[in-house]
Amino acid sequence: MTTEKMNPDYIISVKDLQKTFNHGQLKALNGVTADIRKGEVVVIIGPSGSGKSTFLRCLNLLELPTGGRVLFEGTDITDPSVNINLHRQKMGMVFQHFNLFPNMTILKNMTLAPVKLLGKTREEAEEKARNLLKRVNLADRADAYPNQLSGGQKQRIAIVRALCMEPEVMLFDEPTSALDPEMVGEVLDVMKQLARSGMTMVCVTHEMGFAREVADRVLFMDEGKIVEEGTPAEIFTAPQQPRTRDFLNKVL
Amino acid sequence: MNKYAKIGIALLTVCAVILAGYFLLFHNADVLVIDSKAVTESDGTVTVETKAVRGAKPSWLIGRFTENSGEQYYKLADVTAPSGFKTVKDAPEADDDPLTTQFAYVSKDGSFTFLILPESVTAEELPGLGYTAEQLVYISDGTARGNAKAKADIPVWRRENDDITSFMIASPYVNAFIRMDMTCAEGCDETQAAAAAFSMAERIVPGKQLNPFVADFKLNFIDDSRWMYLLDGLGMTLLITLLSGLMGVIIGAFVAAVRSTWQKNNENMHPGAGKTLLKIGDKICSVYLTVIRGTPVMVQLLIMYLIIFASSSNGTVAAILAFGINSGAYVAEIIRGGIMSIDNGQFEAGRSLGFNYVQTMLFIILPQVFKNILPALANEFIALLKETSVSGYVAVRDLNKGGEIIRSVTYAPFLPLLAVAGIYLALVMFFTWLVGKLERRLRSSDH
Repeated sequence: MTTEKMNPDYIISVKDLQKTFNHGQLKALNGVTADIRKGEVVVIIGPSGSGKSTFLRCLNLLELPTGGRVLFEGTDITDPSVNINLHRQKMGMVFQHFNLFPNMTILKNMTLAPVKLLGKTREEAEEKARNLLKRVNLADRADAYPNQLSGGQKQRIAIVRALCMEPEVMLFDEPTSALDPEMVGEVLDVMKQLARSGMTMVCVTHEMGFAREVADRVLFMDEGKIVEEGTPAEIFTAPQQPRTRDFLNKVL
Repeated sequence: MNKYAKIGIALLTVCAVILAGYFLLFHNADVLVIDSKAVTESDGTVTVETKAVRGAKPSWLIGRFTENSGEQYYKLADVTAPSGFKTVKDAPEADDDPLTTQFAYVSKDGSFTFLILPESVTAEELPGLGYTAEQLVYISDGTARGNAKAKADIPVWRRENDDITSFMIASPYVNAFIRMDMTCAEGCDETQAAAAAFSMAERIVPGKQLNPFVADFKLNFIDDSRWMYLLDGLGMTLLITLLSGLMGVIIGAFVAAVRSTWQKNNENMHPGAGKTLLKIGDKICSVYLTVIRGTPVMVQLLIMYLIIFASSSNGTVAAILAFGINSGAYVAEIIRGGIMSIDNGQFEAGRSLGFNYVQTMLFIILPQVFKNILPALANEFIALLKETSVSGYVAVRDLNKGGEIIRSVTYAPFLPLLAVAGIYLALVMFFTWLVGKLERRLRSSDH
């Protein structure tokens, strides 16, 4: 296990990350280097196919990088000898399609991992879950099943399910892309609330308004590389790179 | 209509079909035909010659008594011997005739066949000729006697007058009717002949025909406690099915685990010993599936019994292993299909929470898989139950073999086969109902 000297302000440090699919034919990531500070909200934008989702999924090794390293709290988690499961417990993830467990109640969805992995008693886990449900105004749906909820409700549950593990960082993979437009707001509200509470967040999204309002830093990716990064003000008002300008012209 | 009513109606329909089929195809119980010939001798005495021949399938009616047509139906069982006849209970001394011995073969459906066999044929050799000693009545020179092994309850009558060759045998298995056809030899007094024949017939009490279904049922299941063959066979069938089914699930789950783990993770695994091992495991499983699913289960069973278990000849163990290994291949593909059909997002959600691969499988994927594949698994189990009916080939006395044993004794294929089919059907319906119940319970948690 390699523990590297790393700026203690950084929670995740990515070095020259490479990812190819189809035995090297398709290059998704082509040398990405980035650092995520503690408490920072980083929003990744970019055209589709630019590798932003792949980048995010490499952070907790849902995709195994083909090159480069990912340091999480100073540990190189791409090292095969590292128990990635322990690190994933501290990296919550929210998916585009929610991925709630359809055969379990909301409460069970939220308490399964804390009980099995953190050794919490059911009572402790349920208390924590109910508190979180209150925060997202879904306390009354604790005993419902996922299919009984709207998309926005499902995504709010997915967020608090990840929070039940008390993660150090939250990864959001296009959390609002699969939602009806009127439900986007309720999910973004929860994310803003989370950002204000000081959670470290890495978020792939197409919600430019959210990026502008909440992000501490915006990364613009294209063709497997970070093309430009900066504060929302820098990126959105004065982009330096022509590709960034092109992209923003199309989406804004 | 609730489910119990539906099941009840289904069962009643099955019973009705079986009964209707039985009466439509009613066993060809030949009537015992007594061909009586009355001859007026020169001294004025009337001799009645009565010959028993195997009759064709008669179009008889229960209780029909048409004196004028010359066709009369009488029941012989449970009647006392008419005067002039006596019941022969003991086997008389061996016959004088050195050349031939006459046997009457009373088959269990009530038909009656005469055999002329060389005397050298002994009772022990009869099975080789297609007969059993128990069913043979020995007749010679107008005397009839029970074979040494003949059942004591076969009523055999003979005329006391030694000049007259007449005898009657009542089938003990079906209450046989006797048809008397009167013919008159040339020059005889028809009236006298008829009177003579009827005078004999009068002493035989006309009886009621025993319900053929009841008689056949009694023959196939009640007599000699033959139903025990079916009960023992049912137990064996269930034992083989349950044990080989259990084995199939264990093998299937293991093979499916190897195959789906490889299929899901091979592109996202660190190279190393684990990956190599998994790859080899996947290849072995793949060969297993190809071979088992590519050859008939009957052949696999015979290979297991005649080659692998050649030294021990334990048919039951061979059958359990053969069916278990066979079922495992099908179960493996069902489970693997179930696992692959679960959205990959469910895996990712589990893994992102920090569960390892096995935990994700156990806590998140398999509960969902189980619900989805339950109907397919139940089908496989039911198919297995029916496939075990070939176990008889390796000397296992399963349900089907039990029916076969009864048939080989009674020579009446209808009821034993129907009973076996009915029991299989009842088992399958029961298991289907059970699985449906379980399925509904599982579905109720999935809104």
